[in-house]
Amino acid sequence: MKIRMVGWESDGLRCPDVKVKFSAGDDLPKVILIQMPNGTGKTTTLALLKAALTGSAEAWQQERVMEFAPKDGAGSDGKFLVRLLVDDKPLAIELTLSFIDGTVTYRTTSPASGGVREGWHPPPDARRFLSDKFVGLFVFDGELAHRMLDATQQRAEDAIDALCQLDLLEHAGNVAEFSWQRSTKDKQGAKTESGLEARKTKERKLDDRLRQLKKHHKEAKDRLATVSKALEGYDKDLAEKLANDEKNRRALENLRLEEKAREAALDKANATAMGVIRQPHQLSALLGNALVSLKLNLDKAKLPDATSRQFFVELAEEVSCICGRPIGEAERKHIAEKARHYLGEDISGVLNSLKQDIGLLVATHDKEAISLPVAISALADAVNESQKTKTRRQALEEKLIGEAGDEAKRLREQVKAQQEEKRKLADLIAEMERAPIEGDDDRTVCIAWVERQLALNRKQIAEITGTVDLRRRTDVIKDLVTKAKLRAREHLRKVLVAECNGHLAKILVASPVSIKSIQNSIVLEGQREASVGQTLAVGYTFLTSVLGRGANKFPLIVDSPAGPLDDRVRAEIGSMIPKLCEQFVAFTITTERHDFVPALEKAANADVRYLTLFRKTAGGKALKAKLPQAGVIESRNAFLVEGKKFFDEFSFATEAELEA
Amino acid sequence: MALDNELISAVNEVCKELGQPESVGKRLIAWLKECSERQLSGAEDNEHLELLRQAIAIGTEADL
Repeated sequence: MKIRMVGWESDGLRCPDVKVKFSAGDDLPKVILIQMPNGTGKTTTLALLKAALTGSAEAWQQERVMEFAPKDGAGSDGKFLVRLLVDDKPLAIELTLSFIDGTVTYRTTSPASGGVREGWHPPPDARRFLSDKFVGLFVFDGELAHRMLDATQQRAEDAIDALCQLDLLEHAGNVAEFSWQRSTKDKQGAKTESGLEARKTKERKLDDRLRQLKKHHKEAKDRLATVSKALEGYDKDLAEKLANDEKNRRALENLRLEEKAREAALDKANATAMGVIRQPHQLSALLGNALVSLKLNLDKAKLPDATSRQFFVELAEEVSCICGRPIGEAERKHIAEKARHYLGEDISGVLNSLKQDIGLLVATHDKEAISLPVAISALADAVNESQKTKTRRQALEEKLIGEAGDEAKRLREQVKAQQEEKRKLADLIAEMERAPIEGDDDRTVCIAWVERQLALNRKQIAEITGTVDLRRRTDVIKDLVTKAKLRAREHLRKVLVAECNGHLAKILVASPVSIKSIQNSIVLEGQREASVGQTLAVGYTFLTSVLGRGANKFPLIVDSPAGPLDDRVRAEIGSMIPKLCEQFVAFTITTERHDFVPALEKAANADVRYLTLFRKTAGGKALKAKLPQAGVIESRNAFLVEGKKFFDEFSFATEAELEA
Repeated sequence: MALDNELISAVNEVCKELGQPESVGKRLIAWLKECSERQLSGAEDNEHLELLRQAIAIGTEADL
């Protein structure tokens, strides 16, 4: 799938009335730069463009629609039309915004989907790529690149899943599940009808519950990331408030470090004590001795192996069985053959393992082993020390907060509240992620338990409906696609980290930053926060790398692409973008030109179309005299000027004239 | 249009780990590849699914 933008038209909206065509002739340029001074409607145009591509505006509320009405008095409606090429075939999507009843209607023109049709009807092949999630990855403002590094969002992972088509695996799994569910319909006989219906109802409930739990699990994790970040901030602010006195600050810092060390020692002592408790022979000498006796007695009785086998070997040689019946040649042969199976290999295995462990752990006395009283005593000491340090730290903190005033008290309250919420969220997530336990029932939040019940229920449905084989094949498919998605994501993360770091090493020579890993968001190496320029450079590098990997080609349509970047980074980003996308459309302002545009032009082999769009204001009318002879389109409320010269000469001074 | 190589190798790896024949991976990849090229109809999806199901090796009753 290759999607390119050809141009747009707007009429009667908050953005200027304009007809923008990206190509002068037949060929579409690789880079299209549209310079629009602040207030010309960049944000409005981008929002309408997204709405046209995704078909989402039909759901807009009246207030949202009215946001697009012109400020100088609205007509009854406004129109926005975007022209595209989808696999080189034309597609036009038009929105009509009614400012009377606050509604939006669509009209689609496409030879591939039946000419002109009312409604949003892009060709079926293109629909998958015109979802909100997908379009948001190639039509965006500079903030998206920033959001890729925000731990509270999941944009990096979403981008990988969407652009590298990992979502297709989920589609295959859903088709398999749906197909099985369909095949279980109408298969029940009279006897099984009510039982089957009950199980199907239960399946639906469990399925809903599972989906709900997974959603809550994700929300809890996102919230935990937000709370942790906020807590870090409050902690930092509080530390700064208390840092007025250097001596006290250092004392508090030392106590905090000591507290952490004591907590680590407590964890270690706790683990040691638990380790001892899990070894019965270390709990008490009585237990140890009893275990040794058990092993000796088992050896003496030649259990499990020799005795069991020997019993049947000897029985086979007898004239009659222990039940009194005679043993003939056939019986003799059968007993000899089956002898080793009869006591059960699982029991023999357990007894052998038990004997082996007793021999290794109990009988061989370990002088280094820690006894339970020693471990418990060490644990009590660790608890005591940890508590004492905590009390000292709290006392000093209280004193300093008392001296620092109300602001410090408020911050401390915030820290406490965030800590409490963090603890609750961590507990909830742990509860959701734990293994199932005996007491679990329908009220549990344990995801694994619900999954197990669902699998069990589906097995029962499969048995009733005679679709056991089909269910098993469906389970294999679902297991395969789920694991393959996780594995592919893991592979891609590693490949993208290496690829992005290669680019970043060249781009950010003066202020190096590299990616440590890609989780839900991008995690930077060694530093939690980067400058705005660094963040944007990392975000772009990631986005263009992912876009470059995808087999499908999309335009990159960006509002203010070089905003906060410094000159050197602008040049590097400018030279990188054309190599990594099929078409680059940027809405820029004058201050972004410097360094960014020359590098962009060079990388695109001068295949660039320069457009400048500005409103007809009082100053703008005066500017009319300065416009070039050719390449100017005038509308009711704006001028659109084509050409590099005017684009380059359009300056702050020109903008000031417009304001006049 | 090709699928991402990392997606293909992940499918093949997991297929092997699950003890499934190579044909399972090949059939799933063929399905995904066609999905990536165009919007498949329900009937087309079901054809791919049926081929995939046929290739799957299932264990004994005790595996259930």
